[in-house]
Amino acid sequence: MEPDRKPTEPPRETASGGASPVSRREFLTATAATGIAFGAGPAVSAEVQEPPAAGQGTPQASASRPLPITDSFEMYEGTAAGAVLAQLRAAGVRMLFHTNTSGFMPFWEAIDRAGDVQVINVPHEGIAVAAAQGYAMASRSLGFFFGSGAGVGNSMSNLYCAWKDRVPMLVTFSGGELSEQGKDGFESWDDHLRPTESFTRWTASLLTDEMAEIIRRAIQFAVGPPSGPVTLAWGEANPGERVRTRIDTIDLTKARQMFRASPDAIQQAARWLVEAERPMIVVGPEVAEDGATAELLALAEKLSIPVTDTEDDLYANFPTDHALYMGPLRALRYPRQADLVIGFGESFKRRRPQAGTTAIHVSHDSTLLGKVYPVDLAIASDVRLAIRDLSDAIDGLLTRDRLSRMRSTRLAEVSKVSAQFKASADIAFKAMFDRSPVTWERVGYELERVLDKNAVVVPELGTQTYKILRQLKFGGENKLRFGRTVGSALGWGVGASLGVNLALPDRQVVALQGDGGFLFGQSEALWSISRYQAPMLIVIMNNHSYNESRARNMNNGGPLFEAGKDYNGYLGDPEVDFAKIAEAYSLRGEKVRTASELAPALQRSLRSMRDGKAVLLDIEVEGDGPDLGQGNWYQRYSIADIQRKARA
Amino acid sequence: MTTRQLATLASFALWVVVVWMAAGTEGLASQSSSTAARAAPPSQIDKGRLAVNQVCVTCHIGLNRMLEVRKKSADEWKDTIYRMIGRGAQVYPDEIEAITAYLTAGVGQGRPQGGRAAANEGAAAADEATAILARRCQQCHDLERARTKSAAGDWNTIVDRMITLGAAVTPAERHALIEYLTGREK
Repeated sequence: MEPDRKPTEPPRETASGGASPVSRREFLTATAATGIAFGAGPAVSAEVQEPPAAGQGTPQASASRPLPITDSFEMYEGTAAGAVLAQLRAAGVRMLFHTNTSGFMPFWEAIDRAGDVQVINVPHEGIAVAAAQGYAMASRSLGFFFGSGAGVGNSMSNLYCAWKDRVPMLVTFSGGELSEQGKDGFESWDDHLRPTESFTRWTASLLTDEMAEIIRRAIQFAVGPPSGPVTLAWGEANPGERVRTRIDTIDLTKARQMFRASPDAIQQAARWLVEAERPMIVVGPEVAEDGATAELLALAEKLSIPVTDTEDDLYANFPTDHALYMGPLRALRYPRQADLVIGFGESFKRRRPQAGTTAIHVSHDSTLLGKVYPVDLAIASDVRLAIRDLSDAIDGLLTRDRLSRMRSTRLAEVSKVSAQFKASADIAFKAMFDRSPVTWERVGYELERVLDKNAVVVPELGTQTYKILRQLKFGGENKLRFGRTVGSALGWGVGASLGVNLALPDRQVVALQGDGGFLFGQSEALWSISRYQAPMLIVIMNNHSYNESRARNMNNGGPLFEAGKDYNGYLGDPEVDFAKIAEAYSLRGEKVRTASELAPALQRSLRSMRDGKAVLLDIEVEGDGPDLGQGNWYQRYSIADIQRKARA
Repeated sequence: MTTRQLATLASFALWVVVVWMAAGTEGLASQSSSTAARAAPPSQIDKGRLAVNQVCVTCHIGLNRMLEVRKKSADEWKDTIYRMIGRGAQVYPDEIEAITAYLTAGVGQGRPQGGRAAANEGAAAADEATAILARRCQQCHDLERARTKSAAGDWNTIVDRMITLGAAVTPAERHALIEYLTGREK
């Protein structure tokens, strides 16, 4: 992301008395022109002098052969909290997520002075972190949250999700003062970010004189690769104290480390790929993270290799309406016995390659390579670079004629199989089309009919997800998908959708929720959706149960199945009126009970969205899984009855 | 006869009627299912069995256990198949009826009972099965799981799955293996 301010534009804080900003390029140019020796810059003190880059022996040398220096720095003078904001702004961050607390006045003052930073208030740390994650995913930038140290626990579930999803974020909390150790003091406990360590790339404390530097370092940890959240404590810093510090301009698109595979490994992979008779590509989230979707499509089409993904895939990395897309790996039936599997940015953690299948694993996370299952060739590389290199190597191995023959022969076979599976899906879909309660497939079908081609869908559904998602076209030029979070912790989706909509305000955003998932404390997100007028569509797939858990618990029978007792699954008592919940937040809510009501309700929803108001559609959908006979059984308990008996 | 005795008798009579009706209904249902199963030729059922082993067991490791507790009519099974296709099960169009026939025919029932009378026979069968395991399975698998019978799913499904994946096991060997593996005590 490009920073809005040019390198020479003074930071707002310094404009009222701080030191002049000096870019590195300007500094070098100035010293070269005046003949002053490198390191004697007039406007900056010695602490900001840059060592010469390689090949820059003298200023004259750099002037005659200017190197591609793209970074710059500024000297900042103001409050320590202002330094944090200045460093964030210098990294292009303009949207911050916050949950209520006191203690951030110097930060608020800096925000107010900056004038170009938007704060999104979200009434729960967990939802705020999810929103920050959604924003970071959709904007391909950095999510930033600041809130109370007492809210660390609230944030943990979605911090875990962000970590599982490898999304770069800085999640910062007040508190954590060393002086409070052992006191069991007000809203404090010892080492208060330690619980987050399992879910973060780095955990650290902000220090008054090092605010900007720690933020810069934290950004490097967060963007990786592998990327992920960083937690920071404000407690050891004095945000109101005046500091003079260096602010580095950070281009987030370049801050991420990129590295390339060895040519030998690429050549080996290319040879195996062209020699394979039944190759298969498995794609994972690193494809989208590394911006490699176009390259992946080109490579698959070059050799007509069928492509599959996993339920762990946070993004739609390959067009789901493409003839080469074979559906999720879990259910894959073609090719029956692949002789070569090449995984791009996928960890093989769900399903290992079959015995006798040659496996190549390409990942930008060297810690994952060959970790879960052994592979025949592990390639550590930026995924986009690896695909490009592989494609070039294949071109060098095959004549154009042979490539063309290989492509057309395989494509004919793959297309035939794809068409048959699609035919079966159509048979099943038509057989259930008009059912009420509405089928999940029908909801997906109707959404595909009315949504924009470039709409964004954020699902948080259980094992029935695919029923609805397969009716929608994702990837390539189609819709975007973010989710379900790989972490699978419920209570993520509505907040994440808000973040996505903030990042992509020109697109339709649809949150797909189960009734059970929404009840994981997500109604608070509606407050922010209403406050910031995010014209989203929130679909509640309401089957009055935790259907996934019910199916898993009951599928294999047992005494509770025989008795029809599901201790956990039934949600229907009370019957929640989700539409009224939406209306309580000044949003539009509507209940859909039958299949025939669905399409008109969606049309009304789109009108409302166009008018700037979000809609919650509560759709009665069919359940699935074992028939328990008494599906609405639950272990009853009534305090009111106890009181009545006590009074009797 | 006292009022209490009358009430007890009436309750008993009601219970008899309910049990009789339930048995009758169950009988009709199973008759309907078995009629549907009988209507399908064996080749169709075999085709369904193969498809189930290629498609369903990728997720339902303990499929036979499920089938033991989930009895359905042909229409109900077809409905289930449609739902599973919706979830991503990759079924060819001509397999829908075959899978329906296989599932309706009643599968996964009956486990060897074992017992003292069959002890000698059992020992011989175990020797034969161990030899098959060594011959057909050991080249790819650690046999510890088979020896301790700690398979995640049921052996019927697992052996069939291995056959579809290319294990060269004859029908007689298959029978012997399943008898042995399912019959071992935990």
